[in-house]
Amino acid sequence: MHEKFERIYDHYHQMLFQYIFYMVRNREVAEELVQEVYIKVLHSYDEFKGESSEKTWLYSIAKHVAVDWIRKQNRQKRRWLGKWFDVHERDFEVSDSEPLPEEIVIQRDEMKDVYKQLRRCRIDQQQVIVLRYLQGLSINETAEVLGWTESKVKTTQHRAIQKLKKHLSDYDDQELKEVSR
Amino acid sequence: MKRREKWTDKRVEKQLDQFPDVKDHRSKAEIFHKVQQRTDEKQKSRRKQRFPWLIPSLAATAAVILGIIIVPGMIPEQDEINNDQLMTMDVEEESEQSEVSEETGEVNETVEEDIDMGIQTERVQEKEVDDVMQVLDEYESIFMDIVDRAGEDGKVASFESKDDLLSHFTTVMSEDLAKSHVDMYFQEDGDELYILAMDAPIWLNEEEPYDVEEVSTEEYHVIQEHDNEMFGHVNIIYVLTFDGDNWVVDEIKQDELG
Repeated sequence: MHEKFERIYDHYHQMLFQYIFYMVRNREVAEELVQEVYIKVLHSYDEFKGESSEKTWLYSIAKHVAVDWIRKQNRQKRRWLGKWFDVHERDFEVSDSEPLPEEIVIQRDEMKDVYKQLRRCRIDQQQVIVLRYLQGLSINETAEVLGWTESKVKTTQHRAIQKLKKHLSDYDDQELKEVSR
Repeated sequence: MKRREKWTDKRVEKQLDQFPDVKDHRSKAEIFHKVQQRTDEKQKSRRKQRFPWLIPSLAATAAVILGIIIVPGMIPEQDEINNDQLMTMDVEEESEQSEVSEETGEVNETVEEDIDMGIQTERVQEKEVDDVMQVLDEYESIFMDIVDRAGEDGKVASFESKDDLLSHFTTVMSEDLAKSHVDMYFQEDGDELYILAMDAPIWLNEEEPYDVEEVSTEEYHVIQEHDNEMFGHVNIIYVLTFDGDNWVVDEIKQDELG
């Protein structure tokens, strides 16, 4: 077990950590979840048949762990019942009070805005953006990780960028209005 | 003063490319230690459930062996079965010994392998269903995203018309369902689109029990019972279908349970 761990750690640890971090947007959570990935990987290593590359196999396990966590969060936040204006207010509060991680705080405003608005994209869109732009995976690799066709990766990526652009423009407009008020 | 440079694909992509590297600052040893701890905990809790299972299976093996001893020659393909039996007998003998003393060695391993295989198949199925179920999550978030971002007067932030919204919704809903949602919950007023203040659709609550039925490889039904003042006692059935490219929520049905 130790040998396997060591090898995976040496080759992939920081890469997997960064991926999970950008999906869950919180260092402590990413630390917990990356451990969860090792547990799963070490337990089911025999399942890995070499049909995909080891790298994309590891990413796909990390993806499952991260998405599970995100969904659980969403559920808790939006436990439904009642009028949705309550829901609206609550959600708004949560998303705006979420502190930026220190890595992002020190960046220029422009990047901070991109980071903030990325959260407003759908999970599958965030996945593609993180894998393609932040992790530098190829279209083929991304398709393997997400279990999609390459064309789905391409269209989702395109839509994700459009969505992000729109969120960013809307956000700028809103800020402008507030300033002129 | 706030910048007013327009957001283009290039500008967005350039920022994304420059996102900072984020590193785990913990040491390798620390992480390994944590992983090992968690693995041990998990195995312990699993082993507790394993033992009741072992006893009936041993009893069953014993019964089969007894049967074979009593009626020899009645079973075809003797050779193969005899071999099997010999093997099971070995295992059984050993396990009886180990039950008396401490569970160790081979027996434990065979049992664990069996169970591991079970867990693996379970996991594969879980994964498939999980992928399908994701569309229900997207269905909720695509709708709630609009609600979240609406102004206090209900003005929808990023869509100007029902058609606009319709094409957005059809990424996760069938044409019909998208249309009924747009018509029921939104209203056009001049160039603006407003949400009507009413109750949101019933979402699946993943913390409460629900059933998943595989109708075909391209259709799943997710069924959850609800009992509240607004809807009464009903089964909500989410019909999920594969449109050749993506999974979509096709239809939402209600079954009165009285």
